[in-house]
Amino acid sequence: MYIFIGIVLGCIVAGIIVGVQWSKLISVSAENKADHYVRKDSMQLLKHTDNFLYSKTEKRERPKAPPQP
Amino acid sequence: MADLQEYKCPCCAGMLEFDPNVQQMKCPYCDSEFSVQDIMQAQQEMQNMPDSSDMEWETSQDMWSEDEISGMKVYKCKSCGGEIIAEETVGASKCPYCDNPVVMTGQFGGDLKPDLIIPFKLDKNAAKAALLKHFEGKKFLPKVFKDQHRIDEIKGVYVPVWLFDAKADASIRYKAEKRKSWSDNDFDYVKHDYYSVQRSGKMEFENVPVDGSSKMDDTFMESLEPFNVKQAVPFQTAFMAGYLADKYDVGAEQSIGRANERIRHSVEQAFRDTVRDYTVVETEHTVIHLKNAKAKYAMYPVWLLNISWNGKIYPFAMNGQTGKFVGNLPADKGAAFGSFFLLAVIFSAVFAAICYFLGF
Repeated sequence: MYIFIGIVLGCIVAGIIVGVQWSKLISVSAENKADHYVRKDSMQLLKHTDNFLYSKTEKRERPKAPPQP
Repeated sequence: MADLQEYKCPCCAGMLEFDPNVQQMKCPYCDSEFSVQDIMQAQQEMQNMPDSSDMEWETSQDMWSEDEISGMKVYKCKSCGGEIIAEETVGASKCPYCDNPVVMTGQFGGDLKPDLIIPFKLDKNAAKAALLKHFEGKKFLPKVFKDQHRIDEIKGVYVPVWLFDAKADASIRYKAEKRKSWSDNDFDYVKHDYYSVQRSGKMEFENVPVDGSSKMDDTFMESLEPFNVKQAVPFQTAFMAGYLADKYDVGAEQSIGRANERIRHSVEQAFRDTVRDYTVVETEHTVIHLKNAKAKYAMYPVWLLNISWNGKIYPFAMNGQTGKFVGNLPADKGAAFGSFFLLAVIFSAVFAAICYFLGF
């Protein structure tokens, strides 16, 4: 079992490292926002309301240890 | 035939070019430097003088057919008399016969005159240096590409750009949830508190750029952002001497959609960032009204480079003002798989050992 977990985690970490290095080769991408062009201090929040609607509580029984002989 | 403008050195009559290093017009032959304003004034005085020389043209027997010349314009080089045939959108170029820089003044006159121009701040050598720096730190870039690439051309281009201002009024409603978990001896509890969250307000945007040339890839231009419009100056054709330029062929009406799309995404994100301290937030309803001011027409400096390697052409571009360099590089798939395999073996062994000692 420990070997299987080790292989899965090892592949995930290796994939992340290789993915980061691969992504450095790509530098051309569309800019979908206009954050650089916001006029300074122009954002004004005129309405700011957080209304509580309702609450719901879930309960789940905890597994109990089997009784000892 | 359409008009060409050349800027001659008052000292030696060589062709002046705009030098980004000194931000002045410079003669490449005698190294004399002049401010743009002085040259424009001298040019105006020259034009007011009577023309004492006539140039006689020989008309060719063979004429271009309608199909051949549709979309093209014909110019005459004032230095060598050569005939320059260029696409009708070309605004600045070099004479193919004598290599003198020329500006097609008709492309930037009257209603077509740009409002602003950001002059080049970085020269061709900076572009070459940036290309080599772009190769650094790329583990999976084929070594052969670094050693054997061939730069086909480097050209400084003024790209026509539309700049949009907008005022945004937004009203967005979210459904948000706070979760809290706790346990006792017998049960695990999760409490969900649901909220209706409303945010309304306004934001203003200025100089959102959209590429006005169909020849320049829009994604490339957006990758080069941001350009600092505060360094833009009122347009004068002299800044274009020595560079290539096109006038716009994508109008403001066609471009405004892209600007508004980017503005909307920014507004949504800015308002979403004000909804804090919740575990889960979902957008339920969004209303964004945009009021656009008149678009401005500007010219932005870009260095374009093309590299040939392995039968493919790799385009690169550098922001001529800030030096930001972009361009997708080829990948060595063999090296990538090899690295993945090696790292997977090493990390698998480490994690397996940890799991073993933890008793899994």
